[in-house]
Amino acid sequence: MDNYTSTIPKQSKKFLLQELIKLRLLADLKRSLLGWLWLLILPVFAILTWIFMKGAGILEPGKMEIPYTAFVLLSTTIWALFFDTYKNCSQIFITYGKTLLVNKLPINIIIFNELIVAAIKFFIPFIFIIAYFLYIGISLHPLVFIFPIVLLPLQLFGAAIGLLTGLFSALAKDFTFLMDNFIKLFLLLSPVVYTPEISTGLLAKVIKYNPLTYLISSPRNLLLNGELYQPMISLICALCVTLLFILLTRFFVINTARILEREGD
Amino acid sequence: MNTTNKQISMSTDEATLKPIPLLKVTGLYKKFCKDLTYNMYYGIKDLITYFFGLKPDYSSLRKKEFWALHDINFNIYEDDIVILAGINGSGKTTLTRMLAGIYETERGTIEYHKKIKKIISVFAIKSGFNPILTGRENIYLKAAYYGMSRKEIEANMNFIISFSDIGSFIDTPIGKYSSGMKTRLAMSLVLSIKSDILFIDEGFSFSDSKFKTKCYKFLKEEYTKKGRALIIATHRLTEISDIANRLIVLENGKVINTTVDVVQGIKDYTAN
Repeated sequence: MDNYTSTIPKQSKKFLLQELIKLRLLADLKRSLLGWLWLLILPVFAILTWIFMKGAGILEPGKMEIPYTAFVLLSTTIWALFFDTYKNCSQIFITYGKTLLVNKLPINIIIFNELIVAAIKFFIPFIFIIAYFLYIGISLHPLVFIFPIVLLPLQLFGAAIGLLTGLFSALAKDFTFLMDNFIKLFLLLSPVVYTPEISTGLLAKVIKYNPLTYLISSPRNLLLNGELYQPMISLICALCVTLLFILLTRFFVINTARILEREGD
Repeated sequence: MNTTNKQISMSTDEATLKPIPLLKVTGLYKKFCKDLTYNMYYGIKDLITYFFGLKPDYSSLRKKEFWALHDINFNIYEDDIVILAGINGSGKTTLTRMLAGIYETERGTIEYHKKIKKIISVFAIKSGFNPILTGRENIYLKAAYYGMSRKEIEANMNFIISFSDIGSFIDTPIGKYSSGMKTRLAMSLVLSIKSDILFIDEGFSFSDSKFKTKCYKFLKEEYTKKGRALIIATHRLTEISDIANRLIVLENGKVINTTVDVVQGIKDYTAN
């Protein structure tokens, strides 16, 4: 006799992952007439909005290396990857709760699925932004091909915070309200719509000790001038958040059943 | 996993059954909290305890908690078709979820024979369907939930369509299906999978008697003399009494009867 542990073959896990990605990306779009075209239309609309604001003179932050519109477009898209990953992971019990109560699914596949979905939703507008950059004459550094690797720690950080929030939020919604607003606040306290160099006073201190400063600035700088922002600190941040992600993923997987039974049907 | 010192209490009927247990449940407990605020508080407290590598005490009840399952002991043997009976709230679904590994086992043990490779559990048969997707797309989705590969499900597709009698509706969004059609499709998918142990928790609601009879006949053929086992948690006892060889009755989270005389067991259960 033995303790039965659900062993799903590798091929079946791959199939499950494919089905979950398809479900998450396309099921809602099936209800619309334009369907998957919305995945392309929405980023174009975002670019046009920023171009319009720039044309209207709303965005005049001073002199920068690249046009502010381009800077903000790139930064907000990078931020969106962090936020979407956080949101996807923090809502795993909302998105899959009922499914998990009736099926013993491998939780790590679900977490991986949420990371992939957020990455796909990032890379579609990102490709448009690259096209826009080239159109307005901003050249990209040859090291652009390692951009996804430099970006990964930011996504893992979003996932780690999301998983921890998701566990506690499944028990009490207070954690969702708290963390959602905290993350929104961090959009302003991180160099997303401004560069880390322009900050002064208290904001300068917050930016200095905020890991998001390094996780956002490094991939952005790499794309624009081929350099990491404060390489040593960025590397330490990347290692720390990767470790945090591994620990919290394990904690999440171990405790999923315990949370599910407290949630009930 | 904690184990209790209490001896396994089996009825004399169990001793006469085949000696190879596929599943052995010993001293199984599960507690829940009936108050929402206390449930949140205990949940957070326990989560923090686990975070620091410790285990909360599971031997006693805290304020507002109750035993949903209390000292459950039984074996499931090869070729068993077992009815799990009990009124609403008796613990059938909780027990089935624990056996399926969906709920954690904090106190007591659930052991499976080493030969067990695949367990399928069916709860709320129609759940997991996405109304926007077609019947065929939903088969792929639910089959993935059951741990099947694309190749396996494609090999079973004709059986599912034919057994469910869905016909040309297979490519219609499932939101347009009747409840009976959804049940037929879901049950046909389950029946297409070769599992060593199959748990079904109220799987035949909404399906017509003709389909139910077809399912029971199929289940009897598939789960007798093939070294497998079937456990059905249901209120429709008389419907499946013909195919079952054992009955386990739960009341307030405790096993109050376990017998191989299914017909008499059902009579006793309904009389009380």
